[in-house]
Amino acid sequence: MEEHEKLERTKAELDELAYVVSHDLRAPLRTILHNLQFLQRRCGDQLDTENANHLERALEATEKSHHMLDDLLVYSRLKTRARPHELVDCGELVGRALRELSELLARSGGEVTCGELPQVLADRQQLQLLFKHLIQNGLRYGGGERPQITISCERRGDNFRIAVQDNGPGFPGNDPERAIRMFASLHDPEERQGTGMGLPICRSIAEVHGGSLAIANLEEGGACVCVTLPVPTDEALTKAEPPRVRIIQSSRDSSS
Amino acid sequence: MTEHLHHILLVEDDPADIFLAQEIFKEHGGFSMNVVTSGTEALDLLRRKGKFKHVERPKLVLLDLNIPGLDGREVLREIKSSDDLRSTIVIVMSTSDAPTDIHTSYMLGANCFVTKPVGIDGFERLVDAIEKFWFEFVKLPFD
Repeated sequence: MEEHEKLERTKAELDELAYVVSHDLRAPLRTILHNLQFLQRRCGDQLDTENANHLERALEATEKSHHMLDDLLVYSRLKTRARPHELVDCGELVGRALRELSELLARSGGEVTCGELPQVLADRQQLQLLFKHLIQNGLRYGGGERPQITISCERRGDNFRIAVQDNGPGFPGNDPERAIRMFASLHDPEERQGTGMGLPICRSIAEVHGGSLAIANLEEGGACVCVTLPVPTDEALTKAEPPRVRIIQSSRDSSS
Repeated sequence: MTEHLHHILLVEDDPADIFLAQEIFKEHGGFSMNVVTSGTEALDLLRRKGKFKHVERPKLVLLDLNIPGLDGREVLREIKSSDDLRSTIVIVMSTSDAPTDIHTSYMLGANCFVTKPVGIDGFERLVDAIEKFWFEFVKLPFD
């Protein structure tokens, strides 16, 4: 029991650390960003190509650090700031995630096929974030010219198993699990888009909901992320938050 | 043209944020901004006490929550619970978007809460929005 308490305290301290770090590092990072932007705006045209590149790289790195801190903050809040679970429709959340990603979707020329998805008990915002990250990963790293992403679900006992597959090269290396480690993708010199926090955030969301997340490379090619979420029990349903009043979907939304 | 300037007050202790605000407001034009770095000074200026006797009373305050000494929450509480200051528009600005900070600010009577924009473009849009909303659309209870 004592060991358990110690562990809980350590976890709480770690969450607190991530929260404080991501908060307090923001201010100096904003200052760096703003001053670089002033420099670029006011003397950008006086710089030769090489020095303009130095400035551009410093700006890119600063913006990336900012996104990393944002994600670190999201991650640190997942366990400490969870809202009460309500019955949510995963299909609807995928639809919302797709609308948030519409620009990337158009730019990548990708296509997302979504099978029938279940209703689960969840923190609506967190679960939408999970779908957003998984689809975003598929669009970024999936098959080159035309990423194809397939989302499907099957029931296995007391769990729903939701799979998000793409047609890309799969996770690099022999150990796909490595990709779930925090900031793992940042060690990849080819990797310039992500913050290295997407999959750790998704796994944490799945775990907060009593589920799990696993990744694998498919034999036929492509990467697959499998999220399991518990099938809501009758008991849990009666205890859950009643669904909030929602605006009736317009015909534009009905595709989700 | 001085009579057309919008008088505002910035309460902020971070020199970098003060510099940023001064640059952006200056480039934008149309504002006259006083800056104080502590809560006590903010209240003194609003009440035109001591060295602030001849300062124009600001119509709008940009208030950072986390300032040393008398902090932003206390300043906000004092403004919104004093008959002489209550009508001053207070925009709370914070680097944080912590739900408790947002909640506390509105409960204490903030007119609105904004997260400090990241990037100077974002800050310019905010200054534009402040001018359009508070100084064009809104009728303020001042002379």
